[in-house]
Amino acid sequence: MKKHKVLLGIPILILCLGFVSVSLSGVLRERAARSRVAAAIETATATSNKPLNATDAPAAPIRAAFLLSPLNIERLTSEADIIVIGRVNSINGPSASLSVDKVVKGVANARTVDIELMADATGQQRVTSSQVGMFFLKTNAKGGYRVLDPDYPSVMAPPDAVVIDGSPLDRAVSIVGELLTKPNNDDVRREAVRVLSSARNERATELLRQGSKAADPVVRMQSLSALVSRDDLGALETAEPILLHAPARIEQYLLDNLSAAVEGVKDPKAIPILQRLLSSSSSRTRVAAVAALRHMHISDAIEALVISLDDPNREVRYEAVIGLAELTGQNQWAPAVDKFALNEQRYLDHWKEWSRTR
Amino acid sequence: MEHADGIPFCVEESSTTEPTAPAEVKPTITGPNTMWWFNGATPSSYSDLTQITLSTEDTGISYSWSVVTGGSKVSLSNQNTANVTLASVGMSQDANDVGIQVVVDGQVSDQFNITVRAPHSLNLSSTTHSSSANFGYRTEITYTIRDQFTNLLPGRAIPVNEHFATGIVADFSGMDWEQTDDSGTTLPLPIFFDAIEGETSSHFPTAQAPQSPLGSTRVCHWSQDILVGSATVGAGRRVQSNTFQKYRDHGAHENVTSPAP
Repeated sequence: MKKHKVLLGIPILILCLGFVSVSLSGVLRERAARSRVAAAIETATATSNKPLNATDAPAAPIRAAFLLSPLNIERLTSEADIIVIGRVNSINGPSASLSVDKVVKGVANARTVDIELMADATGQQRVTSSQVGMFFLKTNAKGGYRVLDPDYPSVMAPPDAVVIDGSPLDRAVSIVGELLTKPNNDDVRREAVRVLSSARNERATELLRQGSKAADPVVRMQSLSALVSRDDLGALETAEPILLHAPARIEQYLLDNLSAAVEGVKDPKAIPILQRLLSSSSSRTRVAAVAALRHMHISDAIEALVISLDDPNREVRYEAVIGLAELTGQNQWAPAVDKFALNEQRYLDHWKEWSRTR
Repeated sequence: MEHADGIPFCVEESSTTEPTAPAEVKPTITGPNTMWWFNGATPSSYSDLTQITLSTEDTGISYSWSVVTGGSKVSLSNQNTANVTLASVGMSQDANDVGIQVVVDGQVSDQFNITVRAPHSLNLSSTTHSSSANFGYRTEITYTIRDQFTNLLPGRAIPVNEHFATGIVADFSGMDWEQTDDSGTTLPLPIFFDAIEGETSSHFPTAQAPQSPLGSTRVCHWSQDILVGSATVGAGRRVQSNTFQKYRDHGAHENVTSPAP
C-alpha cells in the first residue's frame, strides 16, 4: 500500500517541479494546483514506476469532440486484437512508441511496439507522450498495430496490475478494478467507476458493489446508479430510501443519475419498490419508475400503471397510458407524445374506464 | 418484445394482410410495418427504413396503390406496378396510423398499416464531472435518443449533430473563454454524451476542477440545438434545445426543452 502511494506521488512531484521551475503568475499557480490531480487521471492514474524523460513535454491541449459515444469497455475488449498495459515513450508524427509492461489479450510481438495513431471525429488524436494505461490495439495492414478506437485509445490502469486468469473482459475489468479497491485519490476511483459501469459482467458488478459502499459520495452514488441500471435488486433496495428521502448532502446531479438508472430495472420482483417510488417527490424518479413498469410488459404492473394515470406529471401519465396500451394491444389508445398532450383527458378517461371494467 | 429494440406496441417487422375468403382473389400486401422519418435527412444506416417497398404477389394487368389513411406521412411512387415505393415525409401520431391499399384488376386489398417513427426527444441518462489537466474540468451529459412514443431508437448507427443557435454570452465580467465549434458525428448506438470542458489556463477566469459541492459561478453560455439523423450541423430532426452553460468548475445543459420540433 505504501509503495502504491509512493508511485502515485512520483509523477505528481515531477509535475509540481515542472511548474515551480517556471516563474509563475498567480493564475498559473492556481492552474498548477488543479492540474496536479487532473494530470494524475489523464496520464492514466499517474502510477507509472518509470521516471518521466525529456519527451514528456506537455502535449498541446486536445479539445474534446463534443457529441461522443460513451466508453464501452466490452466492445473495446471484444474488438481489440491485443490489449496491453504500457506507457507511451514518444510520439513521432502519425505513430507512437509504446513500452509494453503487461499483455491482457493477444500476443505482443515485442517489449516496445510502434502504434499507428488515428484521428478522432474532430481530426485530433488522443494519445499523448508519457501516457500510461491499458491500450486497445488492432493489427494493421503492415503487420503492426493501430489504435482500435481513436476516441478511447486507452483506459486507466496501474502498471503493476495483476493480470488474472479468465476472459479478456474479466482481466480488463479486474485491472481497472484495482484502481477502485486500492488506495487512490477520489478522482481516480471515480474514473474507475465510469469504466466499470460500461462492463456488464459479474466481476464488474462485484466491484461496483464495493464502490457502492465507498466513503466518497460520488463513487458511492455512481456505483449504485450503475448497479440499479443493470437490474441489481439489492442496489435498488439501497437506492429506495435515498430516492424517497433525498439526503441534503448529496448533489442533485447524483440523485438525478440514480433516478434515471431506475428505468433499467427489469426484474418483476422489483414491482413493489417501483410502486413505492411512484410516491417520490421527484418527477424524475417517478418517470423512471413508471417507465420501468411499462417495459416489463406484465400484468403485475397494471395496478401501478393505473395509479400513475393520476400523477401530477404529464410524462408519468403518458408512460402509464402507453404502458397499458402496449400491454393490452390497444394501439388506437396509444398516442404519440404530442397527440397525447393535445387531448390527454380522452386517453386518461379511456384507461380509467378500462381499469374499472377489466 | 425487447424495449432496447425500440419497436412499439405489437407491431411486427413484417406482415401480410389476410384474405378474408379463400375463394376470393383479394390481393395481399407484404412488407415492413415500420418506417423512419428524419425531417428530410436520410441516414445510410436507415436507408432500408426511410424508403420501403410494399409488394403484392397477386399477378394482374392493372395495379393501383393508394394511401387510405395518414397521407401526410408517406409519399408513393411506382403506384401502378406490383411493387410500390413509400418514402416517409412525416411521423405517425398513433401506432399504425398509415393505411395502404392496392387494387389489382379491380380487386381491393385489405388495409396494410404502417407506423412512421421519428427521433423525438432525448432522455437524460447521467451526468459526470471530472478534472481535466488541459481545461480544468470535463462534464459529460449522457442521453439516449427516443422516438415519439418514448421508445429507445433501434440499435443501429445514427448520426447526430449539435447546432449553436447563438454566439457566446458572457456571464462573468471580463471573461475571455471561447465558443467552441458546433459539430456532428455518427454514433454506433442511440446513446451519446455531450462533453463540456472549461478553458485552457491562458484564459480568464481560470477554469477549476469540479468543486464539492459544485460551484455556482457562471462564466458564459450560448444556445444549443441537438439534432438526429444527420452529422451535418443543423440538419436532421431537432430533438432538444437548451442553454449550453459553462460554470467555472463544471458544465450544464439548462432550460432544456425536449422534444423540441
